[in-house]
Order: sequence, then structure tokens, then C-alpha cells
Amino acid sequence: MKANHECIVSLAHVTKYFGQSRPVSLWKREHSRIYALNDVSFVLRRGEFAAYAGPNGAGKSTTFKLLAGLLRAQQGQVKIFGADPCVKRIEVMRRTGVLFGNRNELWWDHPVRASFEWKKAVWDIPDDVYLSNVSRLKELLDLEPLWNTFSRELSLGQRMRADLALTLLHSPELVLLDEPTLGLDVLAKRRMIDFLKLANQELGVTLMVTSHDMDDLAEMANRLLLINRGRLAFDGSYDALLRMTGDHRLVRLTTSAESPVPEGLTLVDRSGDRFTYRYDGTKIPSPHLFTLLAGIPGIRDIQMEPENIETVIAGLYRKWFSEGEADYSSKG
Amino acid sequence: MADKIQSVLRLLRLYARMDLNWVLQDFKAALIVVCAEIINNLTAVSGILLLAVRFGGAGGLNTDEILLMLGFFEFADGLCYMLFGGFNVLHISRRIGRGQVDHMLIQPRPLIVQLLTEGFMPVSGSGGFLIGILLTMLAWTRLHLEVTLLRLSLLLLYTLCHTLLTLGQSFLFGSAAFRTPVASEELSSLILDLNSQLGRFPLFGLPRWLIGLLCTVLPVGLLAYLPSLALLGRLTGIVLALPVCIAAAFALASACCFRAGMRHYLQYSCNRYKGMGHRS
Repeated sequence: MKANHECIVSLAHVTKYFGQSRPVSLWKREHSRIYALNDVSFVLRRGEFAAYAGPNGAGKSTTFKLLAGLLRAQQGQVKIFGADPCVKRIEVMRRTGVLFGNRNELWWDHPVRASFEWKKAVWDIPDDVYLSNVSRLKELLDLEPLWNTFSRELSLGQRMRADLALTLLHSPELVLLDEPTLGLDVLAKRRMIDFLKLANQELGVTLMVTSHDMDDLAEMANRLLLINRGRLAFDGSYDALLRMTGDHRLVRLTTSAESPVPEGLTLVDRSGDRFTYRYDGTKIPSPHLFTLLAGIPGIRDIQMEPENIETVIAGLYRKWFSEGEADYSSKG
Repeated sequence: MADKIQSVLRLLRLYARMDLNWVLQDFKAALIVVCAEIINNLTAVSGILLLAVRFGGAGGLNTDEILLMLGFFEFADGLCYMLFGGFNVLHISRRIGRGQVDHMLIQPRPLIVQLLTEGFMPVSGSGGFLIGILLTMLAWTRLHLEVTLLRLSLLLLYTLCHTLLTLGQSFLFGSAAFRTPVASEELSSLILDLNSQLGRFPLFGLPRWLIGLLCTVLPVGLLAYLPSLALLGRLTGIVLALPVCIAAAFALASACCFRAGMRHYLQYSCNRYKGMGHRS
């Protein structure tokens, strides 16, 4: 769905740190601060589908907790629908759906149906909205076979589907999903991704998703926010990220030649007579590449493809770590 | 206000239905659970009751008076368990320590409404309450106590005090789990166990300072002993108000501590940076 200008989520210079204390002797403790977020600002507009990614410990879950009103920032402003989620928790939660992939909102000892009935009562969902949403979610997420199954008996994929449906039951305008594809198999993940795209495009839900699976995020979201050590390291489209990191592409050759390494290409893998090279598409345009490859004798096959986003971002993470960015921890 | 009460009643109905559904899912298993609870409650009262039967009374009360005290304890404690026993509302330190406060915060309901309703289990949690009613009625009949408005009012008032004292202590001490989640996770259970073990004993004959302590700071004497003396007409004057005052003090203190704990939680919810806070 095309985003309009209405601001749904806004973080302005948000800083969140946690205190940590370690014993240094029997009587003394050393206090320090761990900065989970450090002066982070961004805005999410209605209809956007944003991916929020970063290495472990980067501050993703803390951001989600701040957005869901489960944490309060030390500095800066967090606003959802123009209100502080800690102060206007009830109003914000009526319009927001939150799903933590490692948690479960379903009632464990009850059939799936009971969790939906529970949510209807707690969220005060009108009968007509409830019936229409249940029927749509059942169809889209194939919940009918699970409807009377006890939540404890569901597989992980089934549980995530039911949990996601429960998150969307009250027609939230904003949905925060923390690792919704965690542990899902290929098919379950595919269904989840398709459904989230549909929810964004057809139901108009504004979505913010975290995941470590960058390919999933690239497929779902049209905007990427990368966070590293509590700071927003990138905010833009995937194309913009590729432009920033270099338009890395792969070319695979099957050839009888012995270890050919054309100029400007980096050999990244060799398996028998198959050679995989990486090159920067901005530096070596395709006509030039063909000229380089034409110089290699005995080529039987050529395959070209863009480097997948996961590899690009893994490279970025590696770069961040190797650069040894300033440690944001400071002694308190 | 009327809206809030209506919404509380609606939620109580919801949780009652969920409890009933849970029982009906496997009626045999649920029956076993309820029977086990009844046996457990009978066992809990039998020790002191057998002592009273053997020695013709205990702690300044005769056997029937002991029966009344035990009946009142089971009745009030059973009611408290029936209202707040579900989903660890009564054992609040478990919910805090296990990081389940997040689940509450994402619901569009005031926390107080959630805490007042989520624990309601009128079917599966009614064992102690039923035993309490039976024992109280039996003792009441054997003691030929008149059913007067004053006596019934005292019964209701002290039942409310019992509930406030139990919840108050659980929330007061359980709020420590906001700061040391794992270390304090079972604090509420310890407090409830202490109440359950000491609350059934008559205090007469103990040193005055100890009775004072057990009726104020550690108010196990207010759970059944003092109320049963009041029901028997042995207390007069200001002492009658003691359970009310102490219950109100505990309720107030627990509300303050819980609110402070919530503020702390919103600041430092993450367990991993806390001493004794990481769950491996």
C-alpha cells in the first residue's frame, strides 16, 4: 500500500539505556550504562511496511518495547498516533497489534477459538467486526482446521499463524511484529510473508517487522531501518542500501580453464570447474564484464545474479564490527 | 464508574466461562483436581481440629469454636482463591518474575481491572470455599449462634479484610520481583504458605508482644483467630476495627509498592541487566 503522510510512529532523539552493576570487591560495585538506543529518530507513515533489522543486541527489541509502551525512554519522545504509548497505553493498544515471536498470546490450555473469544471481550470488539475479521483471518491463514485445537497442541508454524490472526483480530492500524518468522519452516514462512504483504496492501495496515532473515524482510518491506549498537545506521529503500554498499553481483562460470581470475572480479568460491566471482556492478558495467569473460577460454556456462541482500547486510555487519565503532557504553 | 463496574462484570463472566470450559474439557480430570483440593483443605484443618478434639479445645477455644475459626479461615481463604487464584494473580511475584507483565500492558484495559478479573475461577477453584461454608455452617449450628445482622456484617467485613490482607501481603512482598525477578519469583507463594500455615492457629496463651506482632506486622492472627473471636462475641470496642485498619494499611502499602514497581518496570523491564534477574 502506498504510504500517505499521516504519521503513525514517531521517535525523536530517543535514548534508552540500562544500568548495569558488577561487584568489584565485597563492598564495592562498579556501575555502568548499556545504551540500547542512542539518539534514534525516525517516522513511520500510514501504510508503510518497514523492516527493522540489526545484529543481535543492536536495540531492536528495546525499540519495539518502547513503541508498545512496555518501556519508557530516558530521553527523547516516542509517539504512536501522536500520543505517548506509556501515558495513553489503553488508547494506543486499541489501535495497535503487538506480536513477539518468542511469546505467545494464545491461551495455552484452551482451544484456539477460546483465545479469539477472549480477545473479543477484552478488546470490546463489536460482534459484526469480530465475525467478519474471524472469517477473513480463518480463510487467509487457513485456521479452520485449528479452530478447536488446544493451543498447546499446535506446531510452531500453526501457533504463529493463530497468534498473528489474534494480533489482527481487532483491526489494528499499526502492527509491530518482533521476529514473526522465527523458527518457521519454508512453507509456513511463505504463508506468513504472503499474509503480511496482503495485510499491508489490502487491509492498509502499517507494519513494522524485525527479523534476522534479511531476504524475508527484503521481500516484505519497502523500507529498511538498520540499527547498530543503538544508533540508526541506515534508513531507506533496499535499492538505496545496495547503492550505498555497492551494487554487488555474482557471476558463476563453468569452464575448463585453470583458475581464471579476470581483472576487477573477486573469486569467492570454487567447486570443481565452477567458479563464483563477485564484482561491483557500478564499477564494471555489463558490456565490460562480457569483454572480460570473453577472454577466458573453454566457458561452458555463465550465470549472473545480484548478490542476495542477506550477504550484503552480513558484510555490512562485519564492517561495523571490524571498524570497532565507538563503544557507546560509558561508565556511570 | 458505572462503565468500569460493567466492564469488570463482563470480564468476570468471561473468565468464569473460560474456567467452566476448562473443567468441561476433561471433566474427570477437573473433578479429580477439585476433589484433591477439597481433601487438601480438609487435611489442612484436621491437624488443629484433632488436637482440639483430643484436649477438649486449644488456645483458649473449645472444639466447636476451633471449628468455627477453621471454617472461617477456609471460607475466606477459599473465596480469595476463587476470586484471584487463577493465572497467578494471587501469586503476583510469579507473573512479574516471569516477565508476564508485558502481556498485561498490551491489553487495552487498566491493570487494576485485569488484576480484579483474570484470576476468577468459580468452578475449578471453589473447593476450599465450599469446605469453608460447610465447616462454618456446622460450627455455627453446634455453637447455636444467632444469625444477627451484626454477626453477618462482621462475617462479610472480616472476609473482605482476609482477602485484602492476603492480596496485600502477596503484592507488597511480590513487588520485589520488579527489581530482582528471579530471586523474588516465589516470594508471594512463601507469604501465602506462611499465612496458610499460621493463620489457622489460635493465638491465645502466646506472649502479648507476640500476639501484637502476629496481629499487626505479620497479621496471621487477623486472618481467622481475631475474626472468629469477634463472631463469638468475645471482642468489643476498638479491637473489632483492628483487622480493618491493618488490612487497609496493607492494601495501601501494596498499592504504593506495586505502582512504584511498575514505574521501575517501565524504566528497566529488561531482566538481563539486573542482579539476580537473568533467567537461564
